[in-house]
Amino acid sequence: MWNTLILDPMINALLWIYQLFGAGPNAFGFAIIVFTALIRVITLPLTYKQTKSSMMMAEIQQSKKWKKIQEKYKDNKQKLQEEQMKLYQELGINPLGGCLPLLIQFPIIIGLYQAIIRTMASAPLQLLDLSSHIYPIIPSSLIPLNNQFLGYMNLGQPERLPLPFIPSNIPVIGEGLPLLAILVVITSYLQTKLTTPTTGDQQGAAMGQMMSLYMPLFIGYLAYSFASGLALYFVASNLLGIIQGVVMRRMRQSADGKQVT
Amino acid sequence: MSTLPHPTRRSALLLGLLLISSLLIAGCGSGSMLSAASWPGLSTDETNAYLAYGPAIYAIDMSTNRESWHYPEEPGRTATFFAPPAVSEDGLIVVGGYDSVVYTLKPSPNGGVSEVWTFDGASGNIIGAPVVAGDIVLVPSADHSLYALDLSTGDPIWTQPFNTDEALWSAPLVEGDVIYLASLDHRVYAIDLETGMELWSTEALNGAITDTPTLVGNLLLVGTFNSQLVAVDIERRGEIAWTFETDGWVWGNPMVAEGLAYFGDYAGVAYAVDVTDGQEVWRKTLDGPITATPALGPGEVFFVTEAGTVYAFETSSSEPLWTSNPNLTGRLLSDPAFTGDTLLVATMESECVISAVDTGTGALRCLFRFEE
Repeated sequence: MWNTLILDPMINALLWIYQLFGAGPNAFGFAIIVFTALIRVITLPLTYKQTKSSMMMAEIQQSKKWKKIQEKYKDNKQKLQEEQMKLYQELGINPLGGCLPLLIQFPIIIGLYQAIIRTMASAPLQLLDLSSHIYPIIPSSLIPLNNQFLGYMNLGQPERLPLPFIPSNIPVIGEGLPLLAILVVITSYLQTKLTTPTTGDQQGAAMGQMMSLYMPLFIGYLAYSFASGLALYFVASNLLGIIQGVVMRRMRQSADGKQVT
Repeated sequence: MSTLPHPTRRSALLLGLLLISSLLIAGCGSGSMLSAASWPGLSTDETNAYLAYGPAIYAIDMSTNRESWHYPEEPGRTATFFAPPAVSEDGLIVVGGYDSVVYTLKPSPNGGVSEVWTFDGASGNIIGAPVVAGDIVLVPSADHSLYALDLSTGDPIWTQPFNTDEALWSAPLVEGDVIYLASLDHRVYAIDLETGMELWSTEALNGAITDTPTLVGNLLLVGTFNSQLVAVDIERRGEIAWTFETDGWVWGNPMVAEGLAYFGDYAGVAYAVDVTDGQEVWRKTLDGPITATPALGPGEVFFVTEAGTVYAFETSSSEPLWTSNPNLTGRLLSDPAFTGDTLLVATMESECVISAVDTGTGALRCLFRFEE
């Protein structure tokens, strides 16, 4: 079921785009970028709904109306919840509106990761596995994929930009600069900052701060350690997420209706 | 205190999902696949079977069915081995690792093994088996290069390795002074053994080639991922003599007896094809995909399938003489090999790694399993 509905279509779409780019050097890198953009476009309605819901929730958190309700029913939890639901209904907000799209996107993101990793098969068992996912319309002459990108990168291996002027015995950067991993950290940080709304309460702020610091480092570590095709996906996805976040933030700021006061 | 399902909770959900997805990514990454990048590599000489499988190379004495030695002494994750070991005439064992290093080992009479030399000049995994040709060792690497090394010292012999456009996963074939090399770049190359210079190459065959060509007369037979068996004429500098269409990708190379080429494809079909004109003589659909080269016995050919079954055919008939009983529980992807009269098969994802097959009845007997 997972393979039929998610993984196989993704793998074959990725191979088809790779073919469109000429199936030569750089083609797989561009295929990853285009495929990531396509997935972003397909999941845009969900992302939009999720981000909009997050922003509206954050606005409510900081609204005077909610603070008054909190103050009024601070000793009655049940009543506070009832008032909260009324406020949601009044503003047309679905309390699950932010979580549900995230849950729906989750298998798509995992499928995308798996498709990229499997398509970059660089060992016999991986290629054997890949062969069982390829549709007959995809020409077998595409296999194995050309993993070269930008002249120095093998997308099946961790990326290191050669820096001849740095001695090789220096830890971490001695074997080359992990440029993509650094870009992953920076873009992940910016994206988290843009898509995590500031909240009024301390717990939310602390969680947000933790997210914006640790997750970029963690994803950066993955990008540093694993195949650079994955790091390229992270960078492309983050950059598109940042653009999306900026546009939505502007749209939200210019929206004149349903602002809670 | 706030009771809203506000961004705090969504952040926690996001954090959880990211952590899970990170674990899933890690599970798919190359690091975790290190221990299962390929299937067992099996080779034999008159008295021993050699198994390259995961963190070590194992030598099994066929007279006692016991392990004689393994290398390294303390298997770890630093090096993994899947390429079938090569054995020189004077008993040196040459193995290639997924750490890109070539190891040459000398078994000692007391049962141990010592390292003679190592070569770390390659930059890609060594997936195809090294080949010993006189006093030269030829090592194919996934870094697209074929290395020629001095058997006694490990020093490179050619001024530079022979390069192709893609990874090399198959052992080269040496015939006289010429090396025939199949590459994942869809071509077969003829190379001068002494100099490492290209003599000729075929046109692109529209499919990767993962196994060693088979030479019969003036024809090189290669199976490709373009679902074809291709006959290349070596007297006409690599021109295509004929092609035979198969149902699936061809991973293994054919075995030839009495003018017929026997091979299987990943669609699970076993074929017998006339070598002279590429016409099908018989075909039989087996119970699973075939990646391995079949083994030839007197008047018989033995196929193994990924489903864990061994099939015996008379070379002239598509009706099996027998199928193994019971089936092996793991996947049979490795080439079977004879040592003396004993047919050995190596299984992955199974408790028993090497089994002996009774070539008369198909009965299986476990020869080697890893100690707990």
